[in-house]
Amino acid sequence: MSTIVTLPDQLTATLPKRSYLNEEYGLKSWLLTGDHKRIAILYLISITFFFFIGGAMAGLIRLELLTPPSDLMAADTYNKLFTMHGIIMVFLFLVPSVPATIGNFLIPIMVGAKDLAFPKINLLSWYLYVVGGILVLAALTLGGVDTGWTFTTPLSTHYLNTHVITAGLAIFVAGFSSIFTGLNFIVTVHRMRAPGMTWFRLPLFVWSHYAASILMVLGTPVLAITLVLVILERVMGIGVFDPAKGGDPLLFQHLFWFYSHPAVYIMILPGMGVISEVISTFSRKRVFGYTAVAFSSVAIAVFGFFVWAHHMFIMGVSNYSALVFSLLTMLVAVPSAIKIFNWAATLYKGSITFETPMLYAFGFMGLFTIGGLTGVFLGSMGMDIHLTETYFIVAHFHFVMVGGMLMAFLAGIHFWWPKMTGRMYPEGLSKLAALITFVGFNLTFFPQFILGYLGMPRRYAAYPPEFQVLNVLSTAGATVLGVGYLLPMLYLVWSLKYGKIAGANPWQATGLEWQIQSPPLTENFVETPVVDYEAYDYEWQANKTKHEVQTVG
Amino acid sequence: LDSQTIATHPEEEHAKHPPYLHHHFATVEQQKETSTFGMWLFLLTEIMFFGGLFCAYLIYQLVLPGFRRRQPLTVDRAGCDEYGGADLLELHHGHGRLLGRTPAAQGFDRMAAGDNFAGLGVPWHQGD
Repeated sequence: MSTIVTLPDQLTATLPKRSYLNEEYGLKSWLLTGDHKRIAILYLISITFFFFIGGAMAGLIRLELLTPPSDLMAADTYNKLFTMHGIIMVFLFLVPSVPATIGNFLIPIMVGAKDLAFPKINLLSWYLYVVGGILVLAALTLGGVDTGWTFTTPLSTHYLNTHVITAGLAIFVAGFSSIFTGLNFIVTVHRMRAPGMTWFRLPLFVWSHYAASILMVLGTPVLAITLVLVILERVMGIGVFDPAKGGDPLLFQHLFWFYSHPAVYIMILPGMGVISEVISTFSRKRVFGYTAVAFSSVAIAVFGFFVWAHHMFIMGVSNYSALVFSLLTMLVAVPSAIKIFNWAATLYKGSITFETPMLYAFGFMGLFTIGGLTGVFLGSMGMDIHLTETYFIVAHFHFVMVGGMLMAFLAGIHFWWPKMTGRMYPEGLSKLAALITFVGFNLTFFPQFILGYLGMPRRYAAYPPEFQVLNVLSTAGATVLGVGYLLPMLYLVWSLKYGKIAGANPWQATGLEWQIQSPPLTENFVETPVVDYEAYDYEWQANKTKHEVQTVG
Repeated sequence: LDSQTIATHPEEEHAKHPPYLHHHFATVEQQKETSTFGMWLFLLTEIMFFGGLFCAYLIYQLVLPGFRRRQPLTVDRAGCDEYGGADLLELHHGHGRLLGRTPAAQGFDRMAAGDNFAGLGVPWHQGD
């Protein structure tokens, strides 16, 4: 099978003498760093830690659901498990996954800057994330929370005596981390671009992060104030969500979903940016309809703010508002479809090679499409009333979040790992991991569509015996999926010491990040780059490689 | 030997900037524009954060023009509990019908009839 991987001669190759990794040594140099690349690595370690905690909880959930009765744990323990799984995975893994790690590392380099606009605020955002994470762990160890990750009122405000306030504070703090990251990205893209780096020369990765940052900046404060109101309601009984005092629990739903639906796009848009880069590189073609793909990111961000009430179709919103929100929900499918079709068109007549990032990208395209289209089912009111609060919903958003976003995250990590570390991972093993992940994912979540359609409700520790076969399949799949996630963790760590030297541009890609050494210097560029070529111009890349003079020393 | 192009004298390049210019900016103007833009963007997030309060203020202003100028504003604590200002948000979102005529909605009825405004002890007058 053909490959585009081009590595330097391993007998003579070494890592660069100076890079961001060895500029300074010691824990303090990392904890007080202003370098966006080091902060990205800090984030990567942190989110991986929380991913495996959240993943362990998912494993326990699936183990409980192996048999119909609630036998492995008490029902309220199960409630706490799925709540903590949701909180950790959404707020501590998915939201920061691509933007705070890969985005943090790459956006300044991709726009030709030496750093993000506000390096200290970037570091502050990581500290806020850590404080949020510690508060979540505190809530967990003190006894947990069982509201569901959605903090539904009046359950969360009146009827539970678990650690809602601690968890709410955790998300409040972590939310500001997200706001600062988004703010930094927007300002960087506007003000820090290199000469010649026009808006339409920006890689699509930057466009999608820009769109996601708009959502972070405008949506997250609404979540923050909502959680403040929940906390005030619990502590002081202010009555804002309490009908007995003239409040309205549905107001909470409006406020919460005003953030939490756009949050889906905060999670998925950066993933779409990764896929654009990977598909283009491994089919050696400019992304088909660059402008359409760029604007579709912005369109998703804008439409994303006007669909929140589709989470409330069964909660008594008026028929008219349900109708309008149903229509608007369908509209979001349009820019999402533009992306999928344009990626497919990019592949058409491309010189496709099947390196690991590309395998994950293919996984993304298939699984996200299923996740997205089942979202259209759920946006239709008739279907929604039948399917909401069933396992169909669980399957739908896991197809989008795990099948889509996590696949994109892994695609991105495998694609830019050589740039981040200067070393390659074992290619055969990584392809195997991508395959295992894909099989494990489908085995885990596809049966859940059928379970939901048949009427199995979500968030119960027990279920009728006739649902067992599909649940056993799902639990078996989760085991396979677990192996699929553990493998990259192991071989990526292994590659830090034993991986082959990657060189500056192992994929022969066109982005600015591939024109500098791997791992990059602290200041990214020796001289400010002047951009005089379009994004994804492989002809320019080929000419450059042909005439390249290597400076060594 | 290194396997790729590396910086020849990056330390000097990096240390060139004057003390008032952060290392990652090319010019003072760029630095100033960036900080100004960042601050406006942060203020935008604050509008979203305190948006509920701003809305409440606007609604009060709409239904009670000039309510801020009424002095002294005596707040009926018991009434406040019953018809808290937060009800306005609830009314704004139009879910009164779900809950029947909520206390806040009743307050508006009375307000329209020239009674106190939402139980806050503020006399209702059309205009100033």
